[in-house]
Order: sequence, then structure tokens, then C-alpha cells
Amino acid sequence: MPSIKGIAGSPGKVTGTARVIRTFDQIDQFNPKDILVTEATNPSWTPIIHAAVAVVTDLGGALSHAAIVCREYGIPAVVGTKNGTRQIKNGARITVDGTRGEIIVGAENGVNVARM
Amino acid sequence: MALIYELLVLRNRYQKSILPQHLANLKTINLLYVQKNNFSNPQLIQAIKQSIELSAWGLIHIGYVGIAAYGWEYVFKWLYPWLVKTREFNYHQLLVGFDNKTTEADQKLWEVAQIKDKLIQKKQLEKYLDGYGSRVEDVDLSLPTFREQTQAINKLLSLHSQLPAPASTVKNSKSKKELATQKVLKNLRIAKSIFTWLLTMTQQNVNLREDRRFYEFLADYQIRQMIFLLAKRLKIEKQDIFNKSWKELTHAVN
Repeated sequence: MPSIKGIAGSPGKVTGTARVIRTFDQIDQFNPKDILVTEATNPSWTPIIHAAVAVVTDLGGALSHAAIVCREYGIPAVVGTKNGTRQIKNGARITVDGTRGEIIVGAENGVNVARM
Repeated sequence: MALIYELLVLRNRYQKSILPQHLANLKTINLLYVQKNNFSNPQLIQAIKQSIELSAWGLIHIGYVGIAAYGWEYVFKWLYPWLVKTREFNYHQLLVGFDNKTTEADQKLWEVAQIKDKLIQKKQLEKYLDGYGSRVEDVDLSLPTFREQTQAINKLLSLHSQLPAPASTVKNSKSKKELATQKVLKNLRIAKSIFTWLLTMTQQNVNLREDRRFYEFLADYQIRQMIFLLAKRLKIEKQDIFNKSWKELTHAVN
């Protein structure tokens, strides 16, 4: 399965549905336990991060806003993927490995959305 | 040497001098905002200019505090593998579980989301937005603040009504941090007192990362409303006014 490399932002591994949100006003598409895939986050986004099971961002490093907030909320994050929002399709099933800084696209069916 | 000095004194300077001055500036901006309808057009332009300058003072000075907010973490991150024998815990596991304005705002939003009575919820939401609604996406006054995005806020209320309290998550992180700290302190390569000093200094600066960004943009909503009032009076489209120069606006007023 194809994988996308990024920077390990917050440890943990989770499988779920990717929701590509480019701007804050697109959050009406977001469902609880979705994986937030976006370009970068800022303080306005923390209520969405709290609702997500994992976060993937195009920009940022280990001390970026997304990484810091995800560590605080105990959810996996892979940051600095450069083009994650383009490579990951909205609604795709993905596995986010925040410990290794890797995203597996097209994760196997039947894996529950749960913090592993 | 200058950088080390700044790392040591910035947090104190932020708490004793920068933040109080910024809060005083915000009071002045609020006063101008409250009086905005009574201003003539030239007075309104002057009020907008003054508000932007006062807000920018905070933006620059608080932004500079980022050196301490991130600097200590960088130092701790790079020293950690040399100072600690165990690889069981990552450095950042010792830097979680601290309350900050962002988690405080999320907790308040969650509390509003739990209110069943729609009328009471609406009132509490207004109160929440007055306190925490000025968060912005970027350093750009033309972008809407958090409180102006009604649809998104309604969605967040719906999402948060189904979630556990953010405060419980932070409490959980705090417990994990305490456990990690206990184990790390038993596996040091240097004197415990030196490590504890470094850890304490780093931890004291952790909540600055989020707090300072909260305070930086607190006036944005009020400034935007004053700008929109000017746009309305000059019959300019709301978004178009951000493309006008001061010269053009002053000319239009005169």
C-alpha cells in the first residue's frame, strides 16, 4: 500500500477516514473520529483537533501548532508531509503512524477507528 | 550570550511588563470600539489607525516571546538524549498536561455544547465568543476571526456535544507526564538538581506557546468591526476596504 512520509509530530497509530479540510469554514464536512488532513493548523483549529482521531498536515515540524496540540490531546500526528492534502483523497481510509511519521493510504477494511 | 540572556528573562518580562501593557492597550481599543458609532468619519479612521498600532505593538512584543516559548523546548529536546539513560520516554512526554488559553477555550466551548436549552446556550455562546472568539487563522486583518464564522461554530458545537471534555484529556496527559517524570528522574546521567532546573525552566515556558498567540490577536474582531463600519459609511464592499490604502480612505472621507 502507498505510504506518505512526514515528520513524527505526536506518537500513536490510528486508522480512520481522512477528511481533507483546507480552510476553517469547510469543517461542516468533518465528522467525529475523522482524521483531519490539512495544510497547517492554528489556534482557531484546536476545537477540530479535539474532535479528530489523528492529524496530518502539509507544513510544520515537531514544534508546530498541530504537533504540540496533538501531543496535549494525546492523538497521533504526522506533520510536514509537504503534499499530504493532495495525495490523500477526501474520505479515503488511512493509517496515521505518528511515532514513525508515516501515513499508509488505503488501509485494510475492518480495522476499527481506535487509538492503538 | 544575548540569546541565553533573553531565554532566561523573556518569560518574566512577558508576565511583568509586555502582557500588562498589551492588556491596557486592549482596554483602549475596546473603548474606541464601544464609541465607534459616535465618531465622525475622520475620527473613525483615526480610531482604526490607533487600534491597529496598539494591537501591532502587542503582536510584535508577544511574538518575540516565542524565542522563550520555543527556545527552551529546542534546548531541552537536543540535550535530553545526552542527559537521560532510558529511551522509554520521549522528551515531549515531560512537556504535556499544562493548562493554556487554547485548552481553556476548548473546555469552555465544550461546556456550552453540553447545554440543552437553546436559549441559554445562545447566551452562553455569546459570552464564550466575547472571551475567546478573536482567534485568527493568520496575521491578516482581512481574514474573519473565529467568532465571525457562525456555520463553523454551529458545527463545532454539534461535534463537541459528542466528545469527552477537553479538560479530562489534559488531566490524563498530566498523569502520564507525572509518571514519565518519575521514571526519567531515576535514569539520569547528570545531577538530579541540574536536570530538574532545566526541566522546570522548559515547563514554565511551555504554556507560553499557546497563550501568547491567544493574546496577540484579541483585538482583531473589534478592529474588523470598526473597519466594516467605515466601509459601510463610505459605501465600499466589506472585503474591498482591505485593498484600499490609508491615503485612499482618508481621501474618500474628506
